[in-house]
Amino acid sequence: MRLLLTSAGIKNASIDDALVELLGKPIAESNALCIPTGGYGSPYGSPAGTWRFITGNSDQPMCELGWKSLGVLELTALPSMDRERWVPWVQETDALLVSGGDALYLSHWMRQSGLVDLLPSLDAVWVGFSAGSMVMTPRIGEDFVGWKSPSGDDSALGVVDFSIFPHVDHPDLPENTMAAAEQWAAGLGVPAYAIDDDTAIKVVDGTVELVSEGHWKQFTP
Amino acid sequence: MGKPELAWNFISGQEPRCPMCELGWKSVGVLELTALPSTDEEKWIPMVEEADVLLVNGGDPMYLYYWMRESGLADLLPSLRAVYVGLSAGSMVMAPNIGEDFVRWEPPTGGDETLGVVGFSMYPHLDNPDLPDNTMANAEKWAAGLSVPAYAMDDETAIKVNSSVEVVSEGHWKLFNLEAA
Repeated sequence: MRLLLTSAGIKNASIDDALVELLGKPIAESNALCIPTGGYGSPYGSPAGTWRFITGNSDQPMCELGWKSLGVLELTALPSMDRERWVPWVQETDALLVSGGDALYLSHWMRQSGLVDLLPSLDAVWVGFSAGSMVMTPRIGEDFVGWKSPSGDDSALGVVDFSIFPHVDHPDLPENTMAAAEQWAAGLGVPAYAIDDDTAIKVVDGTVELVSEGHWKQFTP
Repeated sequence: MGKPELAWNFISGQEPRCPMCELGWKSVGVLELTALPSTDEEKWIPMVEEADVLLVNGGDPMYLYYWMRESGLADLLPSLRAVYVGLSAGSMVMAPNIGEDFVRWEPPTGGDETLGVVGFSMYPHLDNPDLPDNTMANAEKWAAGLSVPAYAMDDETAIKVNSSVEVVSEGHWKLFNLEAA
């Protein structure tokens, strides 16, 4: 699976180039499904925030990039729908655009919906921002636990083998310093990256490449 | 969900066949009923209580009914100050029942019973050229199977319910089963 794990979406030309490379064709020729689900689990999520994400009016550019077509894939609705209906939607799409919010809530619904089991077979590029990226990691770290999962721990899907600290040094998030990221990483036991909003992590068949017009840091256990 | 693209069209206000979100609201938010059971009530109930309007998409009326109940939103409706604006299934779900013709998704309880917030049933999209089955003749047969007043209405018609029921129309509509009122 190909992943573009961002902190805040397609914020600059370098990340945009990486997205087009992963798609293998222009955005205007690519079909996308957006997944707003993560937003529902976060105290910072709101109906208006979900609307801004879906309609491409947020500060995390994703849906506004000029896709050939755009649809909404609502993970919380999938368990009450026939799989024969929604599985082909996911199989046919070129990109999954995944909102931030609460990573463990999103991880829970990735499992409940069955979408996680389909991931290895999908042709789509997974484009996440914030929690939409963190959900792919083995664990998010206690600092980021908000919504309590039934398992009670901080484990996420583990599609990649490193953890992510997003929004590092963001002016609106004074706690997201590089020093805080270093402390966070120290307790993880897995490799980790702290990335700012101008940075993305490109993963193709397990090969990791950092794409950045900002700054980032790698931590090793 | 209908096709994912239809959900996007509805939310982003790009559905000229059934305009709702594009009307120029001060703010628009998405209330996802299937997510509410896993969301704190303290968070979402105030948001619903503060909204001026709920814009309710069409799709499958029984599926919507199921999630209106599962989410707890159905229980809140009587106390809300918001105006409920439905289209197609979003309107039909307010009826006591929708009629067997419109049952697709089967609720666990079976049947065609819906919320019963209003005392009449609705047959939407009457004579819509894209829906050749939605004729007045079929509406009449549908109404014959119901024991409540029933409106067949075209896409230029709405039913305004306050303390009374008023039909607002620049198109055509018909009331069946008046004797049941």
